[in-house]
Amino acid sequence: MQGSYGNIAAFRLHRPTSAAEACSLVGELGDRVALMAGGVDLLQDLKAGLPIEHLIYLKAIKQLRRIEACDDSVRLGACATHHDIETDAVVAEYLPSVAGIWGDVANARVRIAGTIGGNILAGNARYDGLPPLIALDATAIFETVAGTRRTRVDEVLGDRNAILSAIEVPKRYGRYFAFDRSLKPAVSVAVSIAADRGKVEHVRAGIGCAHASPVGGRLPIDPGTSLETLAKSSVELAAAFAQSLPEPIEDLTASSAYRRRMIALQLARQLRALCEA
Amino acid sequence: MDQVEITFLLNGVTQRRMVQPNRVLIDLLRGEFGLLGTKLGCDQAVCGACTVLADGDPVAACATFAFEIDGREVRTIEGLSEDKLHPVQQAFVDNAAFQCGYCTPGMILLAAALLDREPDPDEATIRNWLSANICRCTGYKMIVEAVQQAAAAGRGRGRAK
Repeated sequence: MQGSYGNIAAFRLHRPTSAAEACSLVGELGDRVALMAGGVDLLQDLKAGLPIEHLIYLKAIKQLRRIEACDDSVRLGACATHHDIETDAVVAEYLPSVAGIWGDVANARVRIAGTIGGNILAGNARYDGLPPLIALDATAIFETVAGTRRTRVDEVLGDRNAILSAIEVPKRYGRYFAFDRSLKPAVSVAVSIAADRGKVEHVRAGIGCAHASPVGGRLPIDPGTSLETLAKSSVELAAAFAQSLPEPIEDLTASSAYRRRMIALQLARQLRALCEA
Repeated sequence: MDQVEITFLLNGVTQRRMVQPNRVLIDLLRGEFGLLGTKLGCDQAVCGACTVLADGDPVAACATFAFEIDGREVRTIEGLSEDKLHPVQQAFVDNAAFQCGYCTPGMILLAAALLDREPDPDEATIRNWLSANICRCTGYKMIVEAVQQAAAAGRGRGRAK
């Protein structure tokens, strides 16, 4: 036995050298087009019979892999690998908690091959990309032939005529951030706090594994609340937030009620730990 | 389907081939070059039996298109060391870190890549790194001990390519 490439449909390969060229190709080539960066998911889909006629290989486009600091955010190129995020100096400087956590995503081979863009575009509720990015209030940057478009990071699916070029993560969430994956695949909970000199501006959470796709948003905190007060009210806040979410899924992994309860529990624990750190 | 030309360094020797875009790297290595040390396991990039090094990075040859290695340096288990066992290979022998041996080439290449990056990893780092590959025989204890031996002896250093 030598392999299974014979199961992969024949396709024509396109290797654009810029995002603009890739956008043009997407517009020209019709529906049976696949975009490939790390290929972690795509190759399995192709082996399973995904019919394509054209494959646009994005990984060679250097601008799509760049990680850079902007005024108020860190811009992660969509083709930046998990390993890039884990080891990049800009991420370490402005989003140190993110860099530390990304070193535990998947495994070494996947971190080296897999990209942040591919992770979130895969639309897999159990993947580790979206919950942290939702908690971090990240923005997705798309390139189309008509220009640049920005959208919330959890609204990236569905547009087949655009190239996801980057993810922008606000620097203000870089200090207080945590991501608990210990109960995967039942739930995963990411939380971030934007705080300045001990006063809380916003608190956000991202929830994975518990719904058809990751969900999350802002917790109802009065701006100016102290970290100490936030820690004391963490249980009530987390419970209210968990209750406000859509009904979690129910499967062999966990019941809906268990998932909701664990979201509240993990969120409260992380909030308290971040406030008291 | 238009073929594409690729040029790459395979175990130290420059190779040039025309390949179909949908050809997967493991098929090229095993079918074209007879490098049967690269094992096909799950064929889903999960088990790591097909691990090879591309520019020193561990990659799953079953989940990499052949065209992706154009311009890169690929190292398989056959080319890890030229005239004697690589230090990681020797440590696997010394610690009996294999039973059936099917996962061993991938494990050794993965471990060599780790020691290339971190010459003195702690046990947690070794276990985290090796979690990319699966062994159904040993329970991992001897594999971890082999990597520790290679690291402790200051062996396994130098680019694994």
